Amino acid sequence: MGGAKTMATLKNARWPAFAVAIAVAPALGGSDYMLHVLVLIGLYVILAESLNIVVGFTGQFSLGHAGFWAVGSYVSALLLIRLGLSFWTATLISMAAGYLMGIVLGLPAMRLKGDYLCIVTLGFGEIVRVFATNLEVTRGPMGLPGIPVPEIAGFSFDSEKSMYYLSWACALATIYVAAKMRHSRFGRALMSVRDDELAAVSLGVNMTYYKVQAFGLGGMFAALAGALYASWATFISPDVFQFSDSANIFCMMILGGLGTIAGPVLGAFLLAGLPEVLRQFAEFRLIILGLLMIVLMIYRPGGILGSYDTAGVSVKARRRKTNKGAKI
Amino acid sequence: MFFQQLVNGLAVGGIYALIAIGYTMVYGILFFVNFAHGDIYMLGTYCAFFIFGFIGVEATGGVISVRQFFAALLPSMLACAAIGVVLEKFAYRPIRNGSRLSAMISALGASLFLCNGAMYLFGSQTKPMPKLFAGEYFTIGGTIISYIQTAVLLVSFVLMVALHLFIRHTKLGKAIRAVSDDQRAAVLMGIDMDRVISATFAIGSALAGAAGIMVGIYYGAVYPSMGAVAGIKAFTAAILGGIGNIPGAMLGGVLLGVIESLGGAYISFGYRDAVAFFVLIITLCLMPTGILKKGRT
Amino acid sequence: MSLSINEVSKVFGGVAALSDVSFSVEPGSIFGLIGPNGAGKTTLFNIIAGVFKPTKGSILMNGRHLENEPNYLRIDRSIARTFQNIRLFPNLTVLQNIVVGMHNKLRCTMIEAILRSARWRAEESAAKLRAMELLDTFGLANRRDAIAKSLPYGEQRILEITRALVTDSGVLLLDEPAAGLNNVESARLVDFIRMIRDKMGRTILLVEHDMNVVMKVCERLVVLDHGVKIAEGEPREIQKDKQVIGAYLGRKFADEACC
Repeated sequence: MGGAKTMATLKNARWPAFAVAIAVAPALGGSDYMLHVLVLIGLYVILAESLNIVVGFTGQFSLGHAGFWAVGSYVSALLLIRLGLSFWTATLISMAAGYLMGIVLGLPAMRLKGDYLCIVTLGFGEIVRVFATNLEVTRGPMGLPGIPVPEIAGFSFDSEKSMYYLSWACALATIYVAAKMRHSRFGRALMSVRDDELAAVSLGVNMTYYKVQAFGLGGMFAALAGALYASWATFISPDVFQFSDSANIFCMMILGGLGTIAGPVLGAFLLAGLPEVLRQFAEFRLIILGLLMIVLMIYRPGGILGSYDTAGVSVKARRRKTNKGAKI
Repeated sequence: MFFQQLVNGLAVGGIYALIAIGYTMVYGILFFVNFAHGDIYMLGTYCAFFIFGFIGVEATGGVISVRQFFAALLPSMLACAAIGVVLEKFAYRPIRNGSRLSAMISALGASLFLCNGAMYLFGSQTKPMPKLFAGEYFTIGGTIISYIQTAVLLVSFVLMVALHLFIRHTKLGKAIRAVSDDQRAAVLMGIDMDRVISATFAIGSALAGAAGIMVGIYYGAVYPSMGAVAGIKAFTAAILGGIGNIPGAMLGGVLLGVIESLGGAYISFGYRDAVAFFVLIITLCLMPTGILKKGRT
Repeated sequence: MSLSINEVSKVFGGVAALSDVSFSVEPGSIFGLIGPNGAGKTTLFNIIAGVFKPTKGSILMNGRHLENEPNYLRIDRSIARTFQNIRLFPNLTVLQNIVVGMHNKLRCTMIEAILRSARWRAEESAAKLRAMELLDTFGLANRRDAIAKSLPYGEQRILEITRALVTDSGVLLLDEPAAGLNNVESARLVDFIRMIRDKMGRTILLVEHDMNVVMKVCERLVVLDHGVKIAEGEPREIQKDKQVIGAYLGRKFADEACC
């Protein structure tokens, strides 16, 4: 019993511990380059976690997530450059744009499933890129240079360290929202649609609404990552948002553990972090990654954390009960 | 201009159709999208590239004879068939009973592996390919039709007819049809699934290889990432025609090539790719089963 | 809670699966819908449950037309259902399965869940309390944290019915509840169904193949054959009905049985 309690406490503490680790990491030293990689990982955490809402929670395949990322980046960048809006306003508007795009993309999801949906979302990602390449306002393949760095209340996020905190604050917020969503009426409705559409509908879940909303929320958070990326990189072009990026984000989510909260985080560290750490193997890294994906699907199709977190769900539920008992 | 674009579209469409057949055959039997198919097509182009190099054709500005073309076509098709069979054996067979999601991820992994493997081995820069018929052409009523376009159309057509005859009249072809119709019944009738699946991958990959060579000499270029866009287009074609349906893939490929060509000409060349995807999304939303329905070849 | 089916017909690709079927289910009764294979029971069941729209005719619940309403609104009209081949949410826990059943009763938005508002906490704990009550009643309380797909078949069946009950719908549609159960489990199911009606006051409409279960538990039956209603009445009357015996066993046996 004591062992179980310790386990529960450990599980309970893992996210706060993770947040603390993120907060103190820069103080432990590390170069600007390390911080740079960590910012990138933070952005990928947002992307993988938001895709997880669509695929992991709701069971709707999407291979066009880079499209939302691009929408967020371009909308925010254009608002900053052309209209001179503040960073926060631009970010919020770009998130709204991502949400709307998600709703629009969610509409085909009402009728399509599986591979068909995959290919439609993939087409969406490509369409976004084609537009970014051809529109005048986005300057086509030349891209948009000179995007101002984020500035909040006079503080300018022009160092890697400040961007590190900004991106990880957003990443942790995304993780938090995803985690809480799972224990809400809304999140349970998404998961019920994923597990059995017909049963969900028979219990009064408006399937169409939840599918579309899942795409909307996924798009919204991906756009947040986009807005952060644009202001961090200060330059964006259509080449940044390729199909391979959508596939990459998808793989982060799967490798870590589909439908779990920790999985996409782990996946982002592995797929965005390891290639940077293993830079001397730069030539091989994607070859190895491809092999790794095949091997993992053969031996652990649920992802690295797949089965672990299913167990985690039950432990969490039990813990809540004991807490309540203690209060009363 | 309309007829000119029609001819251009038909040539490209023939190539799409050849690649789309591979997608549709695999889907018809295993119900998953073989994302690595586009990369097999790319490897087909490289095969031809090296064969031309081996037989001493100048890559830049070089011209190959019809005989040299066929000398490259057949070995490349065989090589692609072998790659396809090996790929299935190692990446897909172990997870055949797993979820379709696993198969899809495995296919994405295989695609990454092949594409980046090619990049590592052959370099990531674009390499020139020799030409067939050095740009000769004839005109019909003002419409320019180049020899190479004619050749592409002719070869695609012959290969598709050959496939059709094979599927209709040989024992193995009938087995493939049976498995695609009703897998369980087919197995109960004593059809060896492994053999049918291997054959499916071999045929699909060989046709992709043929498409690869023709694209290589049509555009005069070869590069490791060429499989990605062509793969997506061909899959679009397969869906357009009704996935799992071989004549549908042929029709879908030609249709997509023509739509793209006309869209590029009348709307804007830059938006050509978007036109293809808009067509795809609209088709799927209006006719989720494609133009022709699944299966009865 | 009166449910009535009026002259319902359904045509699938030119073939009439149902023609002009009418009956009404008295509030608080246990009502059975039976018939030989291909009689149209499942089609009718799915029309009542909102999966199909009837080609003709109407479904009335307390005088309100349901036939053209989307499927997910059936719960709001106080009609819940189970499935022939049990459809749980396999990756959710037993408790989560039940709480999804309360979907249309919970009011908190996602924002409240994220902010962990007092209302959300109250609502969640009330929902869990209610779910636990029901699980306790049906002997599944100790399984609350088990993943649904890990339960044995019999418990999955009970869980599915419990999930339908938690919606507080007045009418419960059970699609072949005895399918796949052994004799002991079937006997327990009969008690279970009676208890739901007696203690919880629900109206029950069930489709069932197992005549033992049907004759024991149902108070009134409608018999379908080839999409047509051929008989309606109490189980004892139905057992003697010549047309019914004919439909099940063939005309010859029907004559022998009666003479």
